[in-house]
Amino acid sequence: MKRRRSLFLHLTQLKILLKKFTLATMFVLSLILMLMSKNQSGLLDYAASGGTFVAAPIIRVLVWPAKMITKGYEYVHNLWYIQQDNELLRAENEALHKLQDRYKALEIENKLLTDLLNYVSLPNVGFVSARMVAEENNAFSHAIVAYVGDKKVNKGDVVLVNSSVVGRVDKKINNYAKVILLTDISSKIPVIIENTRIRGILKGDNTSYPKLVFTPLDAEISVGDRIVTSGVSGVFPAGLPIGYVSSIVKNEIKVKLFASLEKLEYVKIVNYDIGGLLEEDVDDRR
Amino acid sequence: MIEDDWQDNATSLIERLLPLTLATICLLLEYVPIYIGIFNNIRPDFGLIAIYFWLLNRADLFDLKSVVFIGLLDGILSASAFGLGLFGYLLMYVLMVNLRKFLNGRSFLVIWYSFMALSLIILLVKWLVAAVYYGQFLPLTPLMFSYLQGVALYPLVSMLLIMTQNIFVQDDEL
Repeated sequence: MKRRRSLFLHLTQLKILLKKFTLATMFVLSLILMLMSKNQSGLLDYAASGGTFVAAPIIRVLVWPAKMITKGYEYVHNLWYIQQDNELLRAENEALHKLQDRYKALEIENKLLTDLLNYVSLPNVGFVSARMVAEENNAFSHAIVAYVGDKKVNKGDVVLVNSSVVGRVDKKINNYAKVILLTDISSKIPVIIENTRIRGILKGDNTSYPKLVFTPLDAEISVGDRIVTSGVSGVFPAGLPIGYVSSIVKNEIKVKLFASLEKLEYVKIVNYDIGGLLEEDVDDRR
Repeated sequence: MIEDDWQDNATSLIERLLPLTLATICLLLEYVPIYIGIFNNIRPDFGLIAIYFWLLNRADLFDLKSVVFIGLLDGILSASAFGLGLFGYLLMYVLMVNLRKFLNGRSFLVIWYSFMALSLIILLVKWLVAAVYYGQFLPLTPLMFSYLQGVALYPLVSMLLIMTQNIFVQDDEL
């Protein structure tokens, strides 16, 4: 009986002590969570899975008034610039007609050369078109959440908009895929400058213009150069368009993405299954 | 009689849950796609605005547990470090616990200035913690832009929160 009472007293004391230090404990908890996040803990993924499952439908409801405001804004905006846009479109149409002729000629030439080289193209890829349901665009991270339903989506799948890369799948949470955008600080992908074949890494820095780093110091890079994936990491296939060099200031090369990340609505999640190809290759060698 | 009891209980429950619910909606607003492309879609920390507002006005209904809930929800939804949002909101809680007495009953202008100062402190501390986490400094421009948006929108958001509270909570309880 005495022992029981002493245990009870101890527990009460512990409770009081915990109450006293709740705030400090919470601060420590937040730091521990950050460390766990750095180590990509499965426990956090599990928590995120439940949270996103509940929050995403609520966000989808909140999208409705946001869309109404957007439509109103765009209507006024379009009216304001209608004449200017019309002139630009006429000029663009003329240029596109010229390009179309050139494209047809190149297509024929490409087919002839492909036949000549006996070139084997990439296997047919599977893709999922997904609607964006949530976006995060602040000083600390750039990401989106897309609804993919029960379709197969894997970590690392390439996310495209109008054939150009915008990011990669970070994780699939129930029916949703969390996509890390190229502008996010944690995004680093190997790229190549299309015309000069100079390699580098495209690194996000939470601004709209990611940086091109790890390029040779004496590399001749100019504004307007097209950037495409190099395929070096084995995650992204080579040659996918990303953007172009928009500015070079004091060795800092900034890249403007082809896709407009601010106006994302639908994305295409593509599984090139390169990981699988690599594994098969290793198995064959064994 | 029973109907009155039921109604009273429901009203009381709504009143108790209102701050947390509205703070949750404010946090979710940060993640709503807006498709406009204006200001690069950078938006203010609505969660921080709501936490400041409720800690100041209804600290009895919005306590540490509510702050932790909002912080954890932010961690779940955000692609940044899990716990970074919680850290910032806890910091706001600590500051507000110490400043509440001073701010209570002050004019709106003083409350607004105080939000200006506190949110700046919190964002800068979060920025430093994020720099340690990522091993590099994050660009300050979007952070400052988001901060200025938050400061500019504080009167509007607080007005909307007051209006919503007035709709749901009876006059004699206010």
